[in-house]
Order: sequence, then C-alpha cells, then structure tokens
Amino acid sequence: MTNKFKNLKPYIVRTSENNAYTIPKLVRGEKRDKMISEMVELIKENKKIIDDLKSSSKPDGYLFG
Amino acid sequence: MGIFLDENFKESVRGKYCLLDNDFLGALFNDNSLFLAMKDLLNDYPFVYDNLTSFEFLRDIYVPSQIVLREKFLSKDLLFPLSDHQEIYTKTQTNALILSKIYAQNNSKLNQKGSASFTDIFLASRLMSLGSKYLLITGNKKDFPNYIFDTKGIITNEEASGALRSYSLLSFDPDKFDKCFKELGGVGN
Repeated sequence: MTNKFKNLKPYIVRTSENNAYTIPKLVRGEKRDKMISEMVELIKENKKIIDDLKSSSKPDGYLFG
Repeated sequence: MGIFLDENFKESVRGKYCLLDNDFLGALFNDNSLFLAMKDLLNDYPFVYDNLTSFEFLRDIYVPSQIVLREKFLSKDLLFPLSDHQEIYTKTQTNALILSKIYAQNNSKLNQKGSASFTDIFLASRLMSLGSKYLLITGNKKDFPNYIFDTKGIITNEEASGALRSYSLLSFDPDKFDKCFKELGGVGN
C-alpha cells in the first residue's frame, strides 16, 4: 500500500520578484486620513463599550445567558 | 503608555506586507496609540490578514455592538484580506502538515513540550507560500520557531495596566526550512 503522506511537496515562493499575490498600495492623502480617523473612532467606541461593561454588573447586549 | 521599537524594526518593515496574527490584530483594535504608531510605520502598505485570523478576531464576542465595530474595523482598506480559494487552501494544508512534522521532530530534540495551535500552524504555512515580501507580526513567538523563522524586529507596547507586551516581526527562511525538511529523514520526501 502506498503512503500518500510520503510524497508531500512544500509550496514555497522563493524570490521577491515572484510573490504569490499582489496587493494594491494604500490610498493616500485625505482619503487615507479619513479612513484612519474612522478606525480610531471605532477603537474609541470599542473602549467605551468595554469600560461600560466593566462598570456595570448587568450590562446590556448579552446574546446569551 | 508607549511604543518601543528595536533598531531594526523600521528598516525591516520597509516595502513589506505585514501579516497579522490575531493577538496583534486585537492589540491594534484595543489600543489607539499602538494603532497610530503602526500606521505611520507602514507607509503605503496595508496590513494583511488570513481568513483564519479574522475568524479568531470575530469569534466569541457576545456583545452585538462590539461585533459590528470589529467587522467595520476589518472592512477598512488599511486591513487587507488575503485571497482564499480551494487551491490555496490545499497548498496551505500541505505546508501545515509538513511543518507539524518538523515542529514535532525539532521540539522533541529540544525537549520542548506542547505544539502550535491549529491557527498558528496554518498561519505559518500561509507565510511559507506568500514569498519574501511578507512578514508576520505575532505575540506568540513560540509557535513560529527559530529553526524555520527569522526574527526581523520587535515591537513592545506598554499597555494601560503598565504591563509590557512584545510582538515579534518574523520572516520565513526557506534555507532553514530546506535543512529541516531534509532532516525529516525521508518522512514527507
């Protein structure tokens, strides 16, 4: 019986010129600044939720329990 | 709170895509100063993440408003999801199986207990197949061992509690991998 796990060949991209995927560069200027501000706002909102949860013994929003 | 970089960090990330482990993605989402410091370091390049990382990032969140915030955060262009389809998954799975054999062999030699988590071993195998333009940022260095990966830099974040948390910037080293693959002694060859 052959062992199909014996013939495994690794898949490695070996040169920087031959990268597997091309990813677009980031948007620049105002659009980028706006995106970063929005992400900072999301982080702040999340922190507020965590702080509220910590300060409340019975937080709103539980899905279970 | 503060961010501390080792002297190689800025040079190492120049012109590279940074693949995020879930612990670092979570740290970015929980710490404004870390997020702002990192977006300055990356210049024109977005962070990239694998679907397994986004799965870990979104799972086990029981407050609906937090889930919405996390999904919105991931949807921004600064975070770019890697392509995912059957052919990629098959290659990643093959790499992961080979890596798991190498880890088992080397950890046994080094008398180290425990094994890498499912997600981390798949992330390691994904990094293998992405090429040299990609680096991984993780706070869990032990799942990406020195006998396969090179440490290119360290970023240390002082958290609100005052605790210091370090994240490693790692690259896949094909030469180290080849050596380990040979040492498997026929298993997988």
